[in-house]
Amino acid sequence: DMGVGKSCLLHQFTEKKFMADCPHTIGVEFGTRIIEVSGQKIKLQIWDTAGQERFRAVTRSYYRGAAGALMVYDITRRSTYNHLSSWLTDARNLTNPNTVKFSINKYTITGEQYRVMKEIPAVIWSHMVPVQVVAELTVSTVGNTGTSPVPLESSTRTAGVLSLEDILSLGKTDNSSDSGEEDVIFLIGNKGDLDAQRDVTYEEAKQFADENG
Amino acid sequence: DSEPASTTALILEHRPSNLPKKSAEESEKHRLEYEKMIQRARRNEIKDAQKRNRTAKELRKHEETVASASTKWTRDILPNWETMRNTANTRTMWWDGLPPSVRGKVWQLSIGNDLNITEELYGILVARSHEKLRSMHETQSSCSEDTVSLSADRENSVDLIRLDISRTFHNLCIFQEGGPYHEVLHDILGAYVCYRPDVGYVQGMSFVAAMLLLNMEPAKAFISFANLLNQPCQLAFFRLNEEMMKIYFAAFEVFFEENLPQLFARFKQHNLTPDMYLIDWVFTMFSKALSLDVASRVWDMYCRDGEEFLFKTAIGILRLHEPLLLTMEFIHAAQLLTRLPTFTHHKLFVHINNVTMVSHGNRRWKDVLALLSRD
Repeated sequence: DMGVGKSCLLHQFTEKKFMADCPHTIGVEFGTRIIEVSGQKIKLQIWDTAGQERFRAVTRSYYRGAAGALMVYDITRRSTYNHLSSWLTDARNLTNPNTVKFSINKYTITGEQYRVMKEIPAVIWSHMVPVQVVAELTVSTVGNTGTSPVPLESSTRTAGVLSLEDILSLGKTDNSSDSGEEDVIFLIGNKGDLDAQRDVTYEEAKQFADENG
Repeated sequence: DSEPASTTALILEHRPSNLPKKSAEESEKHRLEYEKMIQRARRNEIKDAQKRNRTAKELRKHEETVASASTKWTRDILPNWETMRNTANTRTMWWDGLPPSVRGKVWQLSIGNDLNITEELYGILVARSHEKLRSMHETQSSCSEDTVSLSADRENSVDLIRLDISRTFHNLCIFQEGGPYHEVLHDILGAYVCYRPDVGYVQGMSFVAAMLLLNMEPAKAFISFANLLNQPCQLAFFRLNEEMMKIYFAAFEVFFEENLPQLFARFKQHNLTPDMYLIDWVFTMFSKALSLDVASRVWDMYCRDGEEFLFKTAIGILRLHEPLLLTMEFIHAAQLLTRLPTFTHHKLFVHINNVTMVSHGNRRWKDVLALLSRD
């Protein structure tokens, strides 16, 4: 949905800094970053789409050929969480239906466990739940095991703290034994710094993730 | 020339007494070298001074041109709008860019008010949007946000406006919460949602309204805003009318290919489709993609030439960046187009001027559009 912080996340990922009052995206914008996975340089192409429901007809055409997706909601606005299932439906319907299959409970490491493991402040990870969709596409182009997450910078707003690199490597952590031929969808509850205004609990999001694969 | 002549004020020290004396020949050589140095420095200083004078003169001249243009606009053209708007002289002055002092007025006159909206109606609509917001918040705002997507009546989208206002021209620092234009921009957009609940609030509108608000009074800005959005091109885009948008994209491609065949072929090959960059450009009429002064001039010309100029500008931008775009792979070209580097007026407008909006020998924008609509 609009205003959940998608562009801000992208900016953080590509520029490594937080951007206040990030202008809203109209249509689509693009980001790239080269990450190194197991000694191999991989270029990520990220498509950052408009959030308003009205633009959905337009942004739908941008799902094709995607190797993975990040679904973002705002923990302080329940409506953005409620809309997740319809975004998920789009994501599933618009990737190749023959190759998309769902697998359950593949990721044993949740955001919560990861937090304990890495001693990262709870507020950052409490809403990060991997949801996954398995397809015949390229996890290997997204990331793989072995990348140790960069230390998180402290910032006043969460969108600035959340590192997509960490999310991506987290997703892969449990996936090492796989052939790596999957589409992955991650669920991100953004704005964890506004915990006091929280409208969606971690457990709910976790449940949503579990129910959807 | 008020600059201190520091380089020519070097003091030539005598040789310290504890060192052996220079030969006459050597002293003479050093003296000559010193004089040469001083002369060179003087020449440079004179050149710098001339350059400063030139820029000052140019600036003065520019200011004078703007001042005289603005007199011409206010004294000759504006009072006789209907007869003067299309004269060759007016059109040339228009192309040079409208003086900021008359910009708002010319935009208003060009956009017109076919909808016959009065300032009173604006007041009523603002009051209505306030009421709507109040009642929505009383009945749990989160529910209403949910219904936005479901209901055909988009009056509820009034609640979404606040999410975008602070993110509109945030570098100007006037639309943010607490800023002087924050409430006014909200009012205009809220009033529009109440005026056209079938369209509602659509992202991109905040930039259009803000551009108008920067050049005219709130009620006038609303009237222009509603009339502007009632134009065929804006209606097609803001209603997200896919069929019509596709026709506009196709028409754009006809002229894109005509003007830049090589780049067109490359984009086709890389699957870089016009929607990826045109949506942002058309929705905001370049006010997000270009710097404020460049965008204002594009708006000036939009007011003179209509929707065609938006697409001409788009081709002008592609033309400006063509050499670079031809070397880029998909993702970098797409990135460049969705986040344009800043450039000057002059550079872009030279390229726009070189775009021909005639295809197949004699088809103009309107003809191509009509032809595509028929198919």
